[in-house]
Amino acid sequence: MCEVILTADNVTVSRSGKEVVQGVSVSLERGHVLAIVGPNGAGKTTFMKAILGLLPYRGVVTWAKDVRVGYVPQKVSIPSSFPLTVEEFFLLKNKESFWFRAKTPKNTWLARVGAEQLLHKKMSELSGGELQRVLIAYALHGDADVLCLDEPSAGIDIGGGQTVYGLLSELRASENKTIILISHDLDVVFKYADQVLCIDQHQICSGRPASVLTAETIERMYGSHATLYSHHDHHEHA
Amino acid sequence: MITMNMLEIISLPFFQRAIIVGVIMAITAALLGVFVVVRRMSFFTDAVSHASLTGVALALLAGIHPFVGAVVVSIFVGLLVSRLQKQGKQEVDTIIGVLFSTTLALGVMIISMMKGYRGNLFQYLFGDIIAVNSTDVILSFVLLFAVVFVLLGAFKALTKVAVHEDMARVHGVSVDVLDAVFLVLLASVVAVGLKVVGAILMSALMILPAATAQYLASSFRGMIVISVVVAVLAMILGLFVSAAFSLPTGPTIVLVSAGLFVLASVRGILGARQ
Repeated sequence: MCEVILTADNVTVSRSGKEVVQGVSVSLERGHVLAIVGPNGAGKTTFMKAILGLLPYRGVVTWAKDVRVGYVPQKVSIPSSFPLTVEEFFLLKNKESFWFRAKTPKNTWLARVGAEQLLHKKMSELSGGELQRVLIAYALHGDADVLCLDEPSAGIDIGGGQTVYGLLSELRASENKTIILISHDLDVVFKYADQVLCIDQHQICSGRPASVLTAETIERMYGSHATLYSHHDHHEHA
Repeated sequence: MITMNMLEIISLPFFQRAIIVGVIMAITAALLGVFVVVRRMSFFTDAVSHASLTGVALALLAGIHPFVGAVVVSIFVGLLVSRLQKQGKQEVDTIIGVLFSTTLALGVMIISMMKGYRGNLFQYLFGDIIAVNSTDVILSFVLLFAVVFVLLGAFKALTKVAVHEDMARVHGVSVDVLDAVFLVLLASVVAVGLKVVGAILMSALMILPAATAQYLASSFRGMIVISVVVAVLAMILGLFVSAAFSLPTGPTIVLVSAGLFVLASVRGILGARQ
């Protein structure tokens, strides 16, 4: 039997006196990919921040014992006035001194995401796709079990986005990483997720994408103008 | 016209004290200033430093040491900005704009109304490093040790917060505690720095060296080192120029620092074009 790594039960989050997430529940097994979908302002990011302990909530969130979580936020903008290099960024997570060290240690995760050549570049000079790779490697650095990504393809071109999702799929397959991601792209959800959680402030659906992402749930989330259509490769779009 | 030669200037005890306090404050302000700049808190620092004038005025009224008043009111205003910002009803630059002008006006008003202190107003606004005494020397040393101690212990955490607050929280950083410690240090540096450059120019002492270093550094480590070097250079040059030409010390130090910033920015722009 698979180990449950996260259980969220009846999670409600209030902001400025208003409930922006109401009674959302989900359970996730180790090594699975959970996609959180919903329209803009549905509370997807708020729910992710609540389960990460970044926002106060009502309800119960239980992570498996000793689980290590890595987080890649939706927007990380490093200003040009901050000349932090990729190497220095990773040193922030290492035990060794930021200032004095014998030689640069080999960065396994940076190599795994194909970004080793970026080690001496400034973070502020990375392209959107490069930054996303570095952030994923940073989140995994220290052997995180779970990777939480808030719209990992936002601000990246289509090719870059596909590369990021391909990378996540590979990580899940080879490293048994559990992945929780927020996405607007139902194609991505059908292609990469084992489980989907549909939110529009309250919970609309939860389960396997093929079972629960029906035309009816899509309409409930995005309105009557949204419909599903099939590609020749059987992936669905809203 | 040069009014004194270098040897004469260096031999004066009050100038030696000024050099000691100035260099220590330059290092302290530069170290904190790096984090002020990379966390985009320059305008916030303006609010805290302007508010210190009200603190000085209230301390003079209450008959306590101006340093205490400046630190307390600066911290209060810093916390008020954070609180109002979290409420989200006004943009942060509007909140800071309102607070820094109000506290500066209040400070000027109170000091102007106090008999015997009106003449000191210029000193509190623009600094008078030549008037530093042995207490200031001790205070500046203590402050430097405090800043270095905190930076040694929390350097990685502070840098993580500068990259992204939520990511830092997920990695176990107590952002609120760190912010509180940073605010106390900032307010203390401002309070001691009042004698160096005054309430109006204090934030320049922190921001200009870091802003200059950002044009020259190819890493964060480099930015910190260059920032300290630039701050010390500007302080020493500023003090000598001020003494040699009988110019107001605070503005001279800031203008020398600004000159170094302009040189670095020209180099940065030319470097980017190549």
